[in-house]
Amino acid sequence: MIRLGLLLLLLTFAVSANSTTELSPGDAQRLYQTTQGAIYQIRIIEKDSGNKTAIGSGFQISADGLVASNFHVVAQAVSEPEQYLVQALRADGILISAAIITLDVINDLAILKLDQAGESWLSLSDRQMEKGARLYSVGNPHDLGMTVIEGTYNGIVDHSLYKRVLFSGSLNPGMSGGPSIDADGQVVGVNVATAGNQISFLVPVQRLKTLYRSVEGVAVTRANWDALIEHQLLTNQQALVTDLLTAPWPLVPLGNLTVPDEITDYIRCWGDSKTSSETKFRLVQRNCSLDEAIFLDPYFSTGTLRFSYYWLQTDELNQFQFYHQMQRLFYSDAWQYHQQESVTDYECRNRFVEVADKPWKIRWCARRYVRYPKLMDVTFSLASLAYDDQGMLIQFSISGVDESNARDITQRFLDTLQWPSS
Amino acid sequence: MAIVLEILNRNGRVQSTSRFDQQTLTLGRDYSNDLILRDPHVGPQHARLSFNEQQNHWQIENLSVVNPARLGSGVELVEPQPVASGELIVLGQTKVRLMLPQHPVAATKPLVASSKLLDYLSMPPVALLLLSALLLLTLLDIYLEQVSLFQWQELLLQSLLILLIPIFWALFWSLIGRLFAHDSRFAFHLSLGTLMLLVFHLFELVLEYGRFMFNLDSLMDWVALVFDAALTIGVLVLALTVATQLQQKRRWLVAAGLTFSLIGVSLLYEFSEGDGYQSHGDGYLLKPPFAMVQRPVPSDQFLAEMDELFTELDQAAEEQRQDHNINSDTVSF
Repeated sequence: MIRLGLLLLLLTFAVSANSTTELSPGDAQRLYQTTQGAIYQIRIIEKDSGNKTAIGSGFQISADGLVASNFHVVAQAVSEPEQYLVQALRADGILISAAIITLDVINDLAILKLDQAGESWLSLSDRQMEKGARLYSVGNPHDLGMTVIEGTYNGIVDHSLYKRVLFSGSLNPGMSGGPSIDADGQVVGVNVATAGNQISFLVPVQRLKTLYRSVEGVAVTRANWDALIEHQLLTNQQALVTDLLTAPWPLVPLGNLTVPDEITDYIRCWGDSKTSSETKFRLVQRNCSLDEAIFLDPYFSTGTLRFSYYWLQTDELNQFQFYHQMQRLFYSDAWQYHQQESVTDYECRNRFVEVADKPWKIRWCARRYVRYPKLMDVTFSLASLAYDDQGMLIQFSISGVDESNARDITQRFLDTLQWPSS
Repeated sequence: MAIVLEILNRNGRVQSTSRFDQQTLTLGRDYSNDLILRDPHVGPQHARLSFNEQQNHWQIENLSVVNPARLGSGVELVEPQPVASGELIVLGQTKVRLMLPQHPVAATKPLVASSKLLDYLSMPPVALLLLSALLLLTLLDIYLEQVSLFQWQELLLQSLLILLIPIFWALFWSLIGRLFAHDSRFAFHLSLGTLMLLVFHLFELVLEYGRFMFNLDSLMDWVALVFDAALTIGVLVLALTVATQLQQKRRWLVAAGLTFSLIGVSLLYEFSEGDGYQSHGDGYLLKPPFAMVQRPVPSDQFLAEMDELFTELDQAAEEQRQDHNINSDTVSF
């Protein structure tokens, strides 16, 4: 939906047609006809104006009218239930009211309950898929009408934290929340995001099953979801930070230091260096990040981790010039856009600290989430003050952690830095 | 017997002082008078002052039917009245004060430092010297921040721009001076404007090192605000002293008023910029290692001190929840 919308410019609209030779052309048609009764367009309606403000897709998964979709499709109705309501548009054009039953913000899932259950529903697959298997993704792209798209199952995305399925097919905005089904019509995943060029992502059906089991038979709606979302975020960050803290933290040399690098397989690093006679100093740079953000609202996501290193060295600049240059790179990169009500302003503390037996300047900043007050974003910048002609700058940001994890991950990071050549 | 007459304006300030050596003198609008008063409410021959030798005092006698003269104390002059030294006589709208030569005068005021400073700053060589100092400081600044190849055009442009500020300042105040004090004093205003920039610049440098050395952002923000306000008021008072004839109290009021409205407007501008992006303040400053005056603390000690920061964040989050009516009750699930 909106997440898909952000990537709209990258999308190619050509529906895959290049690899359908081995299948009979009737497969997609047959599947569409047998499943279309279970698939809905999900609409978020602004109560005062009666207009739809967001659309996505969803599919019925039980006889009693439970419908699976993405959290990001219904997010507005979750955060402002007094202003937005959810409706489901059936294949025959009938609009049915729906209530949100449960959420999984980490896996971007939501389960709704229809006021009037449809007659057909899709079953959730138990089978292990093989790479290369045909998948059919159904949804309503750009509000153009229900569409089926053929593509290929390509397993779980490598180096990923939240284990999305890589679907080689073109998901488009509006198809979020729709099902991806195998040739037998069983749900394999939930459409969630795209990176364009037939690179699309699905939430594995196992996640949906887990969520479904938690509400099977109990259909309760609630007015305030903040506590549930906070609980899920807290549980997730605890697992993430524990995983990070127990990882072996391989070190790589950078300038005269050795520094943490790809701490786990889902953290990726990229590096570069440049020397030019014009700038009179040498810069070695390395950026590492975990980019699988958790969507909370269109302007607010969490769960990211990023750290960057800049090593500077000079033979020509005097200390004032050199540290002026260092200062230019001494900032925080936590400039992500947030609506004012999502987070507090950053509070910061500056100090000279001893790290790797050398003096450093640190600026450590944090801000709290207004709706989920146990969680915060942390960003700190670190500059070495050991030499007049060489130095290291580090920026580190982690979003959506609690107080003790904020401290622990900072501590671990600082303790791991080493200055072996001194 | 000599006598001194002072003509006062409506505010009671002396406009002119004249000394007379004769025994009798006349006051009026007519050109035959000894003291000619240019006031349409004064008669051609309005009053006569004469020395009464028998009683050894000066006396005043009214000669006008229209707006008869009276004493400052309000006494009507039905017949000649004695006037003491320092007493006021009211003629039409004009007040005249009579002084005898033996009237005591106030003690001599020593020249105050500020007026010496004013004279000093008015000397063109001083203005040029200050301008050169500013230019030098600007060049030093550029040199210390220079990390790529030297570029003459950029250097020239920056120096010219910085010199334009005091020149425009001086032009502005000269114009004000010409209008209100009939004295432009360009050299003085040039010196003052340049001096102001120099002091601001040096203070900024000191403040940067202060921020870096002591790690106290909010304290430094206050120091900067107070210093900037004080310096602005001081400079404005000096400029107003030279360029206008305002009384001392008024000068301070005008200077303070201007300064605080400037600060108010800039603070208002800062607060109204709620666009979702937040800059992280001025804390990202780096200076060479020699400026590190505090001992570095172990990192675990630094992190242990974050409790206070967390409490501040809690309060901020709670305030925002109340502002946006977000229910913070914990709901079980």
